[in-house]
Amino acid sequence: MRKKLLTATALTGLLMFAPGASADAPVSGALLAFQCAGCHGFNGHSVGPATPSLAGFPEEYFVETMMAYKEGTRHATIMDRVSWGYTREQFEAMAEFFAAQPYLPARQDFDAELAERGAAIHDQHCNSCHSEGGTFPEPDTAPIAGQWAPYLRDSFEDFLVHDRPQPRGMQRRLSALSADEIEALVQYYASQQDPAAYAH
Amino acid sequence: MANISRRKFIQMAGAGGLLAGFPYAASWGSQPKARVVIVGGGTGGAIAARYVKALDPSIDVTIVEANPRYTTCFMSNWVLAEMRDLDSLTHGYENVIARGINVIIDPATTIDTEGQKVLTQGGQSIPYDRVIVAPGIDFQWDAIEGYDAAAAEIVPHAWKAGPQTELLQNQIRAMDDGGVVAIVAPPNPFRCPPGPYERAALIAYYLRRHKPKSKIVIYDAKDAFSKQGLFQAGWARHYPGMIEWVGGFAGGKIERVDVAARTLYSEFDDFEADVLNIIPPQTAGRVAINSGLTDASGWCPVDFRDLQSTLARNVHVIGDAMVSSALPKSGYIAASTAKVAAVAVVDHLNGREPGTPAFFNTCYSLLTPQHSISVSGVYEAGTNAEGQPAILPVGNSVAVSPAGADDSFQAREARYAASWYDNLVDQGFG
Ligand SMILES: Cc1cc2nc3c(=O)[nH]c(=O)nc-3n(C[C@H](O)[C@H](O)[C@H](O)COP(=O)(O)OP(=O)(O)OC[C@H]3O[C@@H](n4cnc5c(N)ncnc54)[C@H](O)[C@@H]3O)c2cc1C
Ligand code: HEC
Ligand code: HEC
Repeated sequence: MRKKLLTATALTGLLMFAPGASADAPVSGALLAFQCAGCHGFNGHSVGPATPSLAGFPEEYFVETMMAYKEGTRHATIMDRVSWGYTREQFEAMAEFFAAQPYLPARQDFDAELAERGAAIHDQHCNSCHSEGGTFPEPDTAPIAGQWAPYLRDSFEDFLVHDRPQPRGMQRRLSALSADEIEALVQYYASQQDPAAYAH
Repeated sequence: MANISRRKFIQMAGAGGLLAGFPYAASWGSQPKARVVIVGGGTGGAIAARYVKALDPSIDVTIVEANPRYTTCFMSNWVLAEMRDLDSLTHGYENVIARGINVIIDPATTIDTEGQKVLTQGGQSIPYDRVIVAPGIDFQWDAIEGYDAAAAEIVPHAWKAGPQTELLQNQIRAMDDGGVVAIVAPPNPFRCPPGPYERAALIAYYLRRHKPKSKIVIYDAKDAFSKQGLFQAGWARHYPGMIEWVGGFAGGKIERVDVAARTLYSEFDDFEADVLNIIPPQTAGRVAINSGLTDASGWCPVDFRDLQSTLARNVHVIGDAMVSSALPKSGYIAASTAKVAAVAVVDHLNGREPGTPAFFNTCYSLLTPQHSISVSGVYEAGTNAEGQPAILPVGNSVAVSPAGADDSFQAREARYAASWYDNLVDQGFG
């Protein structure tokens, strides 16, 4: 390849420029992660309500999620196909990049009354694993508070209809809730918009 | 519309913090580390600017752009379906300027690659250490006999969004029920491979509701097209009998047009229509051609590892203007290549070897407001079977939506398409 380039250069009479990239080195996690920004936002801060933010995701959860897409165990419209293009090592490199970005809660409208109801449901059923009102980045889950509401609704549908894997304890609690109670939870997570709440 | 008067420009420069250009260095208190100039502030250019600035704030970044506002082509087909208006697809440079990026609204005439400066129509000469060239496409006028820039004012291409999109929309709105809309699709390579076929679906969406006896015929220079199976299944499901595709093998290659008579001529036949939309064959943006950055194909050859031109030094080319490869000419690839070039430029200017590049494409196409299909793929730089440098798909990652997807899946994809738009644009203009 190098030789080819030299010949071409000699033909057009141009000078050879500085040596280019070395193709064997691993791609940087940052450049890999930049390529996701068209759907997940600059540095993982999504401004589109249907696609989730990834900034501040714990590395373990990020890598396991990408592997679940790759192995076909988690329902997806597109992330399965995306995951086929990468190795576990590359997921680990991207994970490091996203984990280093500050988590910024989405700015979105919410229903305060429903949110209050949701807070009570969360405390009773969900806070044991999604602590501090769902703002804490547990190693095995992403923060769920501050995430986009339309994405959260899709996530609940994935758990309830599309067999997205979840701990037994979550499945038991979630499947006992009514549609209204789940919507109250969505409103509660959407209502937590103070960035300070996420500084752990 | 493209050019603003000198006086207006200076007013804008004063008011909006736009850089008045000359003398160049006088605007800075201290000497910048290096100057990166970006020719074309569209999808690729605006994103490249943001990443260069974010990766190394001490680099001075200047965008040279022809128009004061940018209208995205992506989603302009949604306008034809009356799902969006053009205003919602139009973006100014206020946020770009607020990030400390200089924006000069003045078309570049040539890039003097020996003297390392960008020359503009307004007479400015803007020096650079590295230039990123992102002018998008231009048209091969008269490749279809009778279709030139003047003809495009009567028969729109609508392949650069804005007034051209409006012209097409107005003609479709004025058409009688039972009329025929003919779309002429170009040969490869061209901007947005699924675009003509999404356009057919979204015009059909409008016609089905307002002029249900009408028809759409696509005359194609090609024998096959992007996401073909999904498109044809979608057309048949949502618009039965309404959309006809005439491939190259079936005589779909149009050689001549009579715009006054609204008639298309292939080698053996002629076709009349009530509304014509001709998408002509394309090349890299004119400024790239004028600057000696294109080869015989009409596109800009690059070293795929860092997107440096193979024809000039310290020049990187991104987006649609890049030579044809496995990477489609899409908005997502304009963004993807912008990031590869931005990282490489910052590495070069800091005396580092650029690392291995990584490319990514996705594109959503709508069949109805509730039914979207997507293609996605991961690519790398490598060597092909003939030992030539090439872009290669990674594994089996280049794939389209499953054919058997149910309604809820398709509706989700339509919502993801809208969020894709928000995030894609925000990277450059947010
Ligand atoms: C109908 C349609 C639908 C599409 N849909 C999709 C889609 O769904 N998904 C997708 O990924 N892609 C889509 N695309 C493709 C996408 O729009 C392009 O691939 C993308 O815009 C390319 O980006 P670019 O930066 O290379 O060029 P552009 O976005 O065209 O930007 C070029 C910029 O350079 C400026 N310029 C040109 N010449 C000069 C000069 N001499 N001096 C100064 N400035 C100059 C122009 O004014 C412009 O602002 C679609 C395209 C069309 C036409
Ligand atoms: C074309 C848009 C698109 C691109 C590009 C994209 N994603 Fe996604 N991502 C989605 C969608 C949509 C979902 C929801 C799941 C689905 O439907 O596939 C998602 C979900 C995710 C999730 C799950 C989030 C959670 O809360 O559990 C992760 C992690 C993720 N994507 C990572 C990535 C990474 C890493 C990349 C880049 C390599 C990437 N995505 C590129 C659209 C995209
Ligand atoms: C036993 C611990 C546990 C309990 C209880 C629990 N969860 Fe979870 N939750 C998890 C784990 C672990 C995951 C990550 C699953 C995976 O790997 O994809 C998760 C994931 C989620 C997600 C998806 C996050 C994302 O980014 O996609 C949501 C939303 C969620 N839980 C909501 C709830 C709600 C609401 C409740 C209460 C009704 C609840 N959980 C109770 C452990 C729990």
